[in-house]
Amino acid sequence: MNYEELKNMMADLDEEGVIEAMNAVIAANGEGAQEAMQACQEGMEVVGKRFESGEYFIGDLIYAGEVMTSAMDILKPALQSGSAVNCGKMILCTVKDDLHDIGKNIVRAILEAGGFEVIDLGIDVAPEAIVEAAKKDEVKIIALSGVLTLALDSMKKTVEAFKEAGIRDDVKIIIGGNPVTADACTAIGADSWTSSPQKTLKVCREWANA
Amino acid sequence: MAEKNYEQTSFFMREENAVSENKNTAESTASEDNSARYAKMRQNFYDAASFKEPDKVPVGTNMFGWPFYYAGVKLTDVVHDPVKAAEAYGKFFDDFEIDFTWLANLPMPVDVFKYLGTDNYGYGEDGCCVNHLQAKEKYLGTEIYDEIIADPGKFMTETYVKRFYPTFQLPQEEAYPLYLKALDAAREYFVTSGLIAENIKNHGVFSIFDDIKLMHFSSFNKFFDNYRGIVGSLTDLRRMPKKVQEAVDALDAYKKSILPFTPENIPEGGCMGHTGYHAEGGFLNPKQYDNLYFKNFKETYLPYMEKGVKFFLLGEGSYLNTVERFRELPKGSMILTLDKDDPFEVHKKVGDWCTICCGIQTDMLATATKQECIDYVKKLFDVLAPGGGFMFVPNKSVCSARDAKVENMIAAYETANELSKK
Repeated sequence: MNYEELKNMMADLDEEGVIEAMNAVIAANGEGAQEAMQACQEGMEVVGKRFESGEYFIGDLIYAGEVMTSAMDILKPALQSGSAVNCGKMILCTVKDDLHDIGKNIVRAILEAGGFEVIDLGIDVAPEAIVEAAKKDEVKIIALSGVLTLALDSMKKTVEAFKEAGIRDDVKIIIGGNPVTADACTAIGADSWTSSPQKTLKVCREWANA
Repeated sequence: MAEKNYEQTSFFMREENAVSENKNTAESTASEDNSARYAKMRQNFYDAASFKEPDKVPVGTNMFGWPFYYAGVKLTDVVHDPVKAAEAYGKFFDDFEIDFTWLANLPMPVDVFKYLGTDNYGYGEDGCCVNHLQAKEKYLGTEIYDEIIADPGKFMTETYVKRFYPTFQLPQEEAYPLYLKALDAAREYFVTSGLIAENIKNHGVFSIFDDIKLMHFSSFNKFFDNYRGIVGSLTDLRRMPKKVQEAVDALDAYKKSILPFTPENIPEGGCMGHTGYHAEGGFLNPKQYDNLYFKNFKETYLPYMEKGVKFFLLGEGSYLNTVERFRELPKGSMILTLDKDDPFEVHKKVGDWCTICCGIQTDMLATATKQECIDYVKKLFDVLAPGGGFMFVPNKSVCSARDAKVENMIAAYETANELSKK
């Protein structure tokens, strides 16, 4: 298999080509599964960069997430470990009082493609539940998503819940979504903020590698 | 100038300093002939949108739930009492000098949706904000494209309604009592919204929906928001682009066929059109935008614009990359609200062609200092107001209690009103 070609197919959102390549890996008893996974991840990196540069739009990101998910579903049985690049675990969720999940799901696809094992807690997640999950799985990176302005309150409460639990300094918290800005980040007390999946991946990788 | 009392009875954040520090900058509308004021504000609106410097740059609002917060009540406490709800909503207009409004109604008829069997809308924790619970929505399958292409009118008025709202799928004996409840809830919603609109009009505030007679919500947005959902519609665009385009064109053609009047029969006194951006605000690439929105929008409404009809565009997201399309329409035809785009960048691109309706970002209203709000509003007026083509309004609908600090809201509006007068 030509992995460079596979990477380009993922980058160009050639769904048929990617799925065909994944099926070929399975037909070959999983030979080259790790390399195929790596190629898809690299293709997703290109997708993220094209979005950052304005060549791709949100619709392309969503579609890329769908293609990547389909590809991984096919490849999963052939993969011995989850990811060619392993950045470790992190938590992702939409915060309490916000039931939007599109942005969160796009980010999850990019993070998973980028090598994170994402613990997706879902939507409308209470601060205590996030703290509990972080303790249980000893997760150090927390990504909070929200679309409504109400989400900003919940993000602040989540940061406070980590303080109250005495583990605020043990975790890094990134917030993202429609109402999030640099000012909001400061007011909330998060460690970073983002308006793009690619930046989320970049920041979380830096934290994972620190 | 009479002293103004910004009464502050909010239940979450009692910013009492804001109340005592602020003096009235608004002339009392009570002492004015409000019909005359209404006419004047309407004229100012059209002058600004026609690149004439108005007597006063229109200062507007687009409030959802925040007026209830400002009045110190929860929407959930007054929603079943139309008189109390209208009084509470009107308090914002008692205290702030507002020239025009985009909204003059309750946020959403939550109970109507409930009785029709969906929980897509619900009240936020603050009791003022109505949330669209997007992740709970269940969408239709790809088979709808063929159904729409075959008969778009039937799909819109029958098929979709019956499939999307579970109550319509119940046996008649179970459904009927729910229809009655939904109708009651709708009546209550419209009565309350009517009282709110009347109250606002009695303040001499021009409500743009008084003039809006043409509504264009792009057909792709129906797939995006209602029929297929965001993920479904956007993946369909990649997997079956021709089918999506055919269905969009069929729906647009149907909607064109049922417009209330032709360009030759525009109502006496003129009117406006309204359009909105959802998918257009960053989800679509420029080619998709052209094919799914602009092509049919231009074809349908250019003849109206050539007769002087202006369209008010309420946008969500970022659309700097397509604003120059409006140069294909007559100058002054479009009034663009902005959401995420930098107003100064938009002004550089189309400030000589389209009216820019924008103001302070709501995150500034919520988190910035009072002085930062004042400085930003001053900068907006310095750059955008000369020569007309500018209206002031916050960049997002102010929905929930925490969307704006009262003292920032007061500072922004006082500054805007001060700078807006010749």
